[in-house]
Amino acid sequence: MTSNRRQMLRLALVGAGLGASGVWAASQRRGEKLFRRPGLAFDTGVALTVAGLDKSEAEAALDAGFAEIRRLERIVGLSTSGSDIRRLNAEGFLAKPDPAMLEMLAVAEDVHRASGGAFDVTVQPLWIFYDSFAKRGAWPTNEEAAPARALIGQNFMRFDENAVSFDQPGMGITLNSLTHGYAADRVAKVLADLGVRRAFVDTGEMEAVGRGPHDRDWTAAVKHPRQPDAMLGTAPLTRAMATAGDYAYTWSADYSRNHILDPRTGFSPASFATVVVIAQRAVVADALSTAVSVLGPDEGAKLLKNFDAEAYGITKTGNVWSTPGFPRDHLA
Amino acid sequence: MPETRTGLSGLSVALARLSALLAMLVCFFAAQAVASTLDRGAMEKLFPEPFRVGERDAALPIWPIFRQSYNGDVLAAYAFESIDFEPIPGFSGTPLDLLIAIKPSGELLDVRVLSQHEPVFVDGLGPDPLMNFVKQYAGKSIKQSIKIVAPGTRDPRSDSVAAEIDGVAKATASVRIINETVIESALQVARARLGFSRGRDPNRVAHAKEDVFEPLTFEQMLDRGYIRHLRLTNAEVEVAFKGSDGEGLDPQARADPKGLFADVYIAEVDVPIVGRNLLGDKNWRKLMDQLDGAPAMLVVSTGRWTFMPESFVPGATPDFIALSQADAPVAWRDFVWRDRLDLPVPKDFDLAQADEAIMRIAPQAAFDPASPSIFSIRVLREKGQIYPERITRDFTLAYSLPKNLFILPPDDSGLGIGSIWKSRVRDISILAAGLIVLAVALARQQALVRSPRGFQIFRLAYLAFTLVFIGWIAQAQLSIVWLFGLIKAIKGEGSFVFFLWDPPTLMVTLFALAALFIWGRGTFCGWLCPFGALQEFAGEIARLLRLRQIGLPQRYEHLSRIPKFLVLAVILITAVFFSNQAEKVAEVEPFKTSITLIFMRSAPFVLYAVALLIVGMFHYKFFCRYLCPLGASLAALSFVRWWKWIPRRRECGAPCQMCRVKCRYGAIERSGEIVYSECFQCMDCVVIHDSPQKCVPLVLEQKRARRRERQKLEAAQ
Repeated sequence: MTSNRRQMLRLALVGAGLGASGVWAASQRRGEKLFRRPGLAFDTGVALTVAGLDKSEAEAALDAGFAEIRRLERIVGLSTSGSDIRRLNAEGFLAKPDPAMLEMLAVAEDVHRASGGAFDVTVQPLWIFYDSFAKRGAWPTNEEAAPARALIGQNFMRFDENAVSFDQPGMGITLNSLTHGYAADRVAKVLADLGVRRAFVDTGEMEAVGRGPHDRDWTAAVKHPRQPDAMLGTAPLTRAMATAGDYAYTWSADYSRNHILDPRTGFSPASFATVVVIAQRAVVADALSTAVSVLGPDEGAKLLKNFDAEAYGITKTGNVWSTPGFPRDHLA
Repeated sequence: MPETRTGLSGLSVALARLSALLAMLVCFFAAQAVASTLDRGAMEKLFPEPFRVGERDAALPIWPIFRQSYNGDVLAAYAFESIDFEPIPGFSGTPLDLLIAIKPSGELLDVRVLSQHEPVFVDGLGPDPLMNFVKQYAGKSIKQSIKIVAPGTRDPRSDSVAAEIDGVAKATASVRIINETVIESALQVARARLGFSRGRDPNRVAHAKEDVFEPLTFEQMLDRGYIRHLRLTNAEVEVAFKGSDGEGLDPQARADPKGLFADVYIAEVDVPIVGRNLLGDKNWRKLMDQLDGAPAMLVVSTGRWTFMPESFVPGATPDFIALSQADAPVAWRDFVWRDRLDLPVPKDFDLAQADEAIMRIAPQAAFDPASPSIFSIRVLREKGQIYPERITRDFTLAYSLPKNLFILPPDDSGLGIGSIWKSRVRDISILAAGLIVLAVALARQQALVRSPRGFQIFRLAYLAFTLVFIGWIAQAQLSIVWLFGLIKAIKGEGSFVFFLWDPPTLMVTLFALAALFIWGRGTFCGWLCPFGALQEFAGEIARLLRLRQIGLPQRYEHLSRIPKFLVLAVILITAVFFSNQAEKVAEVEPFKTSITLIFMRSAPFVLYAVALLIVGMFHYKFFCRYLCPLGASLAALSFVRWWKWIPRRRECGAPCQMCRVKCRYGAIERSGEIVYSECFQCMDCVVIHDSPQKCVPLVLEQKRARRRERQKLEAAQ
């Protein structure tokens, strides 16, 4: 189902994590060695970077970080065969869900309510429906898509520590708009618990542990939504940062049909090409970046205020937009 | 068993049993699972900076390898060990292990040898030719069909569909196994991680069913997807160029955005239900006759766009249309079909103005009509006057016919073994003929030995065939190393598949095994072993030179049968406890030196082999009789023989010792009984037995008969 998606994402540049190469070169020179390990997870490139450790400590920390990533893949990885979420989508029921899934669903519930339904994890059936058409070089009419659209609705999903279940047969969820962020939170916690004091976690979304080498802030690169491998600039990373972009997976060359779907209309939203959100928790930043993409600038700004988050975006027409608190010193 | 059990031959039987037991042990210890060997540290050594070794894949033993770049790490390749995906046993019975790195594009970044036990590369030629061989893979894509050709015969033109690499002389089968290992394991990884669909293997494409037909209109065929339609307006094309340098370069498009740009229909016309309905029965049959079994697509288009511009050369591959399948381009050409096609197209399609082409798909493209394919048209815009910048956009149309129109190929694992048998068809047929001649000759031994001189000529001629053709040309010298592989395969731990890689060796093996049941070990040792033949010729030369033979004293005859079993035991023990040394100990066989490599080898090996031949000139077949471990293993198995095919007389042994004395192998006991496990089936004793001049009892009988005749005459007088 997601093999094409996987392929496409994996060809993409792996998380432009460290931003300017200067940081890397400088720290290597001055002896505070950075240890970086890239990898492929959650259908994208990921990379963990730790500093202030010797080689064996660093390797142990990186092993632990990746172990956590692999654990989460087995729970919420849509392309990991036998994962909990795939069982849930296949059977419409999952007994004793892992706490990780419950935490993500709780964040999904909060953002769903606060956004008035602009964020909804039950869009998965529509996503699959669109993707199956796109693979044949076709696109469904509104009428054809109606049955798949009717399966959307987070209020048709129930969850507690005993089970996750759906009210309608055929429903399914995707946690892809939370997973990368949640993983960043979890890996950052695992590293911090191990005593790592400086780390840059990039699980598709980014989170900082402490500050970078020589007590400077970590820098995160912001990707250009239209030029692969290019960046718009950088932003200091002190907390967590998440990005949603229409370019990450698209069904049409002009990005008008892409993986971000407005659950209320069934179409991809028209306003933003990319939205970058900074928040205290990466899982929240992740969900908000998708929700703001759907809501557009005005309603998006209101939503961000609720969660004490800042955002920066480029609209499809090329206009730059941001909330007042977003650090734009090194951005257009 | 017919053998006389003196104390010593009893001992040799016991040793034979012990050897069999040891062989079982070899199987047991060799059953250790094969698995990958590289850890992160080893991978980092193989991929130093600027590469960065990524976290190992969650599900498969694959390491993503990244290349450091100015703003992050770019996925450069997936690296893996072939043994984890395609453990094809080589000739030692042990799979070789290659490190393979494949780029996301399907291009091979690097192939290296991690471990290998191919006899020819362990010592023989040495590992260097193998290292050089695998270096050729860098830059080749698994989207191409990678073929091995004889060194120096490579076609310098390489294209996107096929690539050729140089083989290694004298290691034909080994490099084919390596090629298969590289391609099959890389394809598995590509299917799992690069989104490759099931590979296109020429042996696995579907064929259209001849009898599926019903009359259909053009519209019905469109509905069913037998015909596909792509219609583009000026505006749609303009949208595709938007944001590029090609934007706005077409004034006509701006003036008439709704105007027709291209109107294209495609259909696979070799499929009866499509072709007959489209072209009409008569035209279709004519086309089919000329296509010669190849698939073909009909492409017709009208509108401003054309795939046959004025510069198009009939019969060429057009630039502006393309077909692809499983992410790889399909090679096709304009079939230059000049008959007017009276197609039942819709009325709004202006057939008179249309471009039409029947595109013949190359059979070697392995196009599978039962799998989806993608047809694409290319639109080119040029910006600038003198050296215009060319900007292109592709528009695609998926084409897929239902499976029930086809006979689908069997769903097998599909090793490309068929091609090996095909490529060696000459060797296989000559060898088959040779083996049949031998089988018939031996089965009719009385006729064979009727003329002792005729038999002698036949035997020497056949041994020349064995040495030159079976040994040097077909490279079918059996070896104890090969036996290890056979034992492993029987045990179920190896695979019999590797035997199929080397048809001549397989044929000789099967023949030798079958003959073991009928005539005993002698058929192989005396007729089919190339080194045995070489020794026999050495013996013949010695005879012509009248070299004095150095015989063993009588009393050591039985004892002398034992050393070969000891050699076999040492080899088997080594295989059990020091398996990596087994190939070295197996060098006691001079086969690789003298037959496989035709003496083109380092001096110590050549000296050893030549020394054995020289010793053989003074003591007949010294190596075969006293040292050969393969012969020993066949001797150990020779109890399965059920035919006492050597005729005997009452007088044999008591009192006549003629055959025993004449037997050059010491395979006849004093009692006159044949020791079949030592018999090389040279037929000397059969010739004697049937010869009124040579067989002492017959000679005596004749004398007696003459005497009686004389007495009768005398009495009558």
